[in-house]
Amino acid sequence: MLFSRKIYWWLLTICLFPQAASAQMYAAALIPDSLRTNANVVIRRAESVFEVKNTQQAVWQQTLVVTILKPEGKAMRQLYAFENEFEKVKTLSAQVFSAEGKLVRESEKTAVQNFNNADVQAFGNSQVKFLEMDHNLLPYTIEFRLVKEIKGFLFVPEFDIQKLGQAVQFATYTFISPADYQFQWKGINTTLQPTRQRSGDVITTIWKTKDLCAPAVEPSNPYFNAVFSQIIFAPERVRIDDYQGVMKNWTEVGQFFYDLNKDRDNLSPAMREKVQQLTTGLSSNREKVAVLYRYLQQNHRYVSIQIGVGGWQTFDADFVEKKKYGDCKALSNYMKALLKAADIPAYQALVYAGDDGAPEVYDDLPAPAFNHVILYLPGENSWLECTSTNDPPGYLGEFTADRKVLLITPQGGKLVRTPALTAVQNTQTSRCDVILNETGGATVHNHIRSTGHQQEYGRYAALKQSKAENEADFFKTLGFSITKLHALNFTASEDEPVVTLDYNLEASTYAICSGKRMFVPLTKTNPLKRTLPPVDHRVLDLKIASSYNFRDTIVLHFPAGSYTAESIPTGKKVVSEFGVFELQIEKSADFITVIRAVEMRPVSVPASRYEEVRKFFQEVTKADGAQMVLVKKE
Amino acid sequence: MLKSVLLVLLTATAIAVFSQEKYEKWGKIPVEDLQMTVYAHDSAANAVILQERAKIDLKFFNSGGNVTIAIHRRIKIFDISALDQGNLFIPYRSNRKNGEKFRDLDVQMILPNGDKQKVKSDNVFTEKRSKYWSAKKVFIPNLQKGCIIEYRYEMDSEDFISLYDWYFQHELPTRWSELEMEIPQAFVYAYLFRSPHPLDVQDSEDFYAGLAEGGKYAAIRKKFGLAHLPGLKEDPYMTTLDDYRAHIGFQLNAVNFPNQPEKKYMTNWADLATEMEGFSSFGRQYKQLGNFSKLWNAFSAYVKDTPKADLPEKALRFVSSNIKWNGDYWMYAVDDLDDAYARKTGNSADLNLAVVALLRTAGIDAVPLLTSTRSNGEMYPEYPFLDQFNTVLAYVRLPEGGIVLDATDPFNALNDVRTEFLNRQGWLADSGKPAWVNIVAPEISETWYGNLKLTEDGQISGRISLQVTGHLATEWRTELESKSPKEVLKSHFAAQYPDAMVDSVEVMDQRDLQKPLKIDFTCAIANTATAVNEYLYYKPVLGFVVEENPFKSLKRQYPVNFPRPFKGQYVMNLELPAGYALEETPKGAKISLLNNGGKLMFTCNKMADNKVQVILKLNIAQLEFNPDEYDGLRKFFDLNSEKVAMQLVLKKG
Repeated sequence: MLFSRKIYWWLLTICLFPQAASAQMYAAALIPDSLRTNANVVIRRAESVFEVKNTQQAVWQQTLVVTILKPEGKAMRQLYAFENEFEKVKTLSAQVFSAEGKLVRESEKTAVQNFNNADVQAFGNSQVKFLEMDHNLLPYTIEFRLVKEIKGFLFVPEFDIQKLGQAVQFATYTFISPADYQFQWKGINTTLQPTRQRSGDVITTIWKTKDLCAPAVEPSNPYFNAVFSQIIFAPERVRIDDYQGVMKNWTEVGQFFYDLNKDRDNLSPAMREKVQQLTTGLSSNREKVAVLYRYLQQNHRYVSIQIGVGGWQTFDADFVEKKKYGDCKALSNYMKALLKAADIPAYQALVYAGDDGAPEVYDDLPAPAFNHVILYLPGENSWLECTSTNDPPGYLGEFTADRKVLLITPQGGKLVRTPALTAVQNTQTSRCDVILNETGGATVHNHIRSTGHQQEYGRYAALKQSKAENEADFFKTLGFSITKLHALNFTASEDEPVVTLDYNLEASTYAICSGKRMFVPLTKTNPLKRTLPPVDHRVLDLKIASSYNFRDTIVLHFPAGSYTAESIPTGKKVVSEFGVFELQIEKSADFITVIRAVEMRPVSVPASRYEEVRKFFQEVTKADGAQMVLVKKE
Repeated sequence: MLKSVLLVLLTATAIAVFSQEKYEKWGKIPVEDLQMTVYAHDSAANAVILQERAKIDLKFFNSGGNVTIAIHRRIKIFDISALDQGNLFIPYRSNRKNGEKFRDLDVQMILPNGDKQKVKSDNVFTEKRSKYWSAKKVFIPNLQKGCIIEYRYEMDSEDFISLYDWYFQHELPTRWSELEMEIPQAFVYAYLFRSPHPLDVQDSEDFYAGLAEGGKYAAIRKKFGLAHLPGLKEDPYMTTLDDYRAHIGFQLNAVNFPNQPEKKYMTNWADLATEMEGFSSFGRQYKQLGNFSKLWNAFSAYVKDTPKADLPEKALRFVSSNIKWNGDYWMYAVDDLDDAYARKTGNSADLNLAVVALLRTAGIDAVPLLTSTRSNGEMYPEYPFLDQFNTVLAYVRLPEGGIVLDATDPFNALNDVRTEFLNRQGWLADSGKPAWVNIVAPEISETWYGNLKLTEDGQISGRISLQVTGHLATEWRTELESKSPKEVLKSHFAAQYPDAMVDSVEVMDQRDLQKPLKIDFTCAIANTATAVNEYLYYKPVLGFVVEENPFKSLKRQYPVNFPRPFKGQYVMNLELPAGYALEETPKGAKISLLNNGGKLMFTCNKMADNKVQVILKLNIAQLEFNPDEYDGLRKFFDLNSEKVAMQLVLKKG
């Protein structure tokens, strides 16, 4: 579903330079101690040059000299370079230097691996060139060189100054352009300013920095892809293939993509007729959308074929109508066409899709960093994920929710935010009966109703997986051994993001028996698992996006007639601004009822409050792990 | 037996087994298949391979043979969750030397009403995947639930030495799969066959085939068919799925062209070893000093005055620290060993042949040990052929038994190897004394010994001694290389005891890889016990070699294969808080698996001075367990988990 292009710019953290290095320069001992703190790698020298010949042609040159200090930094021993019909790699080579700075070896031509980035079930014109340099001892230093020729581009590669765990000794980025060539730029998490000089008709703009200490790598950090600081660019005029455009602001960026894909949303008369048939008698647009979306889902499949203008131009609606498949552009364009035939307006929206969030989109810098397309319905104020065959209409999951996207309208682009699902929408409600036997085994019946993000897996299980796959997954996640599975049923609602799971099983080791006692965990069917590792001195802000509400009723039945309770935990309530956890316990003669209410809120706090959040999670986990002790009647 | 290999001789008499399943020609779809909505043998399947057929045709060509394979497969889609079956991926060799000519791809879709739609060429893409491989990608348009997909293609190649293997079994269940072949009798193959049940069809018939230029030659036609094969899925602790797939493979034995002496292809192990020794990327690497003189010079300086008995370990250390493994398992050196030494990286052959080369030059009886990685699949000691192997180790022959060396991991002790190498056996490629040897890794063990004190508020503190051996020691040593001992210990405690305080850490024998790794430390953990009224409940097992039962599935289709034997021991002497006594001493337990393949022992004893001693021991000595032993194995690990989670009940008295 992705235009993979943009991602590879992220991977390209590399650089050029044609200046011969004297060997000792690369000795690891020359790295100042101040740059070693927190560093897995040290960027010794990063020099990038983006030379624009005209709106269509450019050359990208990088030299990157990187010293790998620790095994955690070994990803930097690799360099990827993306290629497609507009971008070709001319040089990709590397040298390895020992800790003493002595040249160990140079990459041979055959060391560059060529692999097609399209997976087994996809096809595209793009591929990735890839070079990996290993050495037997740490630390060691690699000097990479990359030269690419570009004959059509919509973006200028970023200057990723620094990532978490990287120290920088020296880095420059040089933008060379004709005097009449205009571009915008913006510094992210940096105040670095360029110098600019003009020589004849050419302007050279240089950003230069040195001696940056490494920001520590810490869990749940606020930086997407661990990119700590960067300079991003936006060219004002672009030309790719026969398409040219102006991109001074987001309105114009949207206009360019609109024009690139214009008039591709026309259905055949037969298909228009089909739309009329499907929607006839339906009074509201909401119902019509639901019917047409379901028609799309049940009759079309997602196939990633990316071959139009560097993967930016969609197939005609006609193509999808005939083939019954398409990628995210083609399917959303086709859905738009179906809606158009029912007089329901819709706009495509460019989005960066991913379960772990997206890079920030800046209002004042029109640099599109998107990899996916969804559909927006202004009349309904709702969204459609057209590559999904199982989502209910209007549902955006963790893949695309809560981020800025670019609407592509006939009047140009418009930045808007997709809705976030809050704790109130991401819920789980369950009723579970655990009937214990004398050996610590139990019969367990559980009925779980999930909504929002909480139902995404269940929906996939209900509609996309075989029964055998569901069982295999279920066994993996279950925290105890079972001897029989009588039932395991996922049921997904067609219209709402709601899934129910019913299961019924015999567990062999639910409780632990020890002599005449039995230790019974209270929430073993679904323990809470939100934790943070202890950290000595947290430096980065803490960000946890997910939020949810649980309400579970667990009835634990004592083994028939033979046990009494020796200890039953009292209820517990833990309250904090990060969430609320409450366990209430009602005792009866031969069973107890555990009522658990959990609200976990998104967390966004400065580093100084890390420990506070960690303690809260820890207290909750401990309270959730409470146990009851039963003792055999004498 | 599931994994037995049968040799089917070409002269074997025909056996025809009655089967209700038969192969239907292209486009001829029985009406029951059109209407089928569920596969009777697996009602949970979202699609089924209704039938598939491969036809291998070998004909005389030039001075060798030309092989054509024609494949025809038919798949029924029951559910929209299986629409991905409409994205076909057909790889083929496209390099110039051993390449295949791919041709006559036909794809069609049949609707439940019997209407056929041919898939046009604009849905077919050709992709160059690498230097050696290309693939056809077909995206079948208009695919709906209830449809049948059918496709066929042919490939030509002049490679008659490695004929196409045929797999009768796939991730999808298969109703009928067959292989037919026509081969001149001049080509003599051995047949390697594996199946979960006997062949449903096995025919063999002699006939005369005509040459294009006139004349006839003796040929043989064979047919193998299997019905109702279940879909395959991965389980924990197995080698590759391919080891369990119903499969037929071929090994060329000899070629007898008319008026020519017989040409032997499969000879015997000694001849094969001689051949290997002549290869420039194999035997010549460790036999000709010119290929590793720099390596040797550095090594001989490094081992100056070293007693001979210590040389194997020295060679292992020297090679593994000077050449880093690049992640590839392969049996041939990339270039010369000196090139790998200069590059400082190499594949498993570069490293392990370097060990062989150094030891031989130093006067030690070292030879290469060829094997097949776990993911490459099983070997056939009955058949002397090379392509069953894909990687190599070093082996030192000693009167008292051999030593296996693997330099791909710098922390491997003698006889220890990466898990991928643990595929039961290997072959010593030595023309003088070729032999199969077992490759058995040393036992993994984890031993805890603690003297701890529990206080009334639930804090435990005291000194713990942790000792690990075998591959577990390799893993710890790898971690200790980049992290402090304290960090490593804390990360091991993090999941269960995130606030464990660790201090006064002492690591012993971190560099002496032949010895167990020992870590002594002081440990304090707060809030480990639950206090209720006059009772205190406390779980004494802080960590164990296996805690959760690794076997979650109720049933098992294939044997369980543990790569290494393993053992755990946990001994804790616990001092109870003053005024508390053990309310009830947990009963001991002791169980063994059949044939003593595994043992579990638990005891808890009151000692003097208000102390309690808890002991838990587990060992698994048997490496392979058949599916019928699976249930017992699950229960064994259930009991283990129960003992790990066991709690003591203390009462204030």
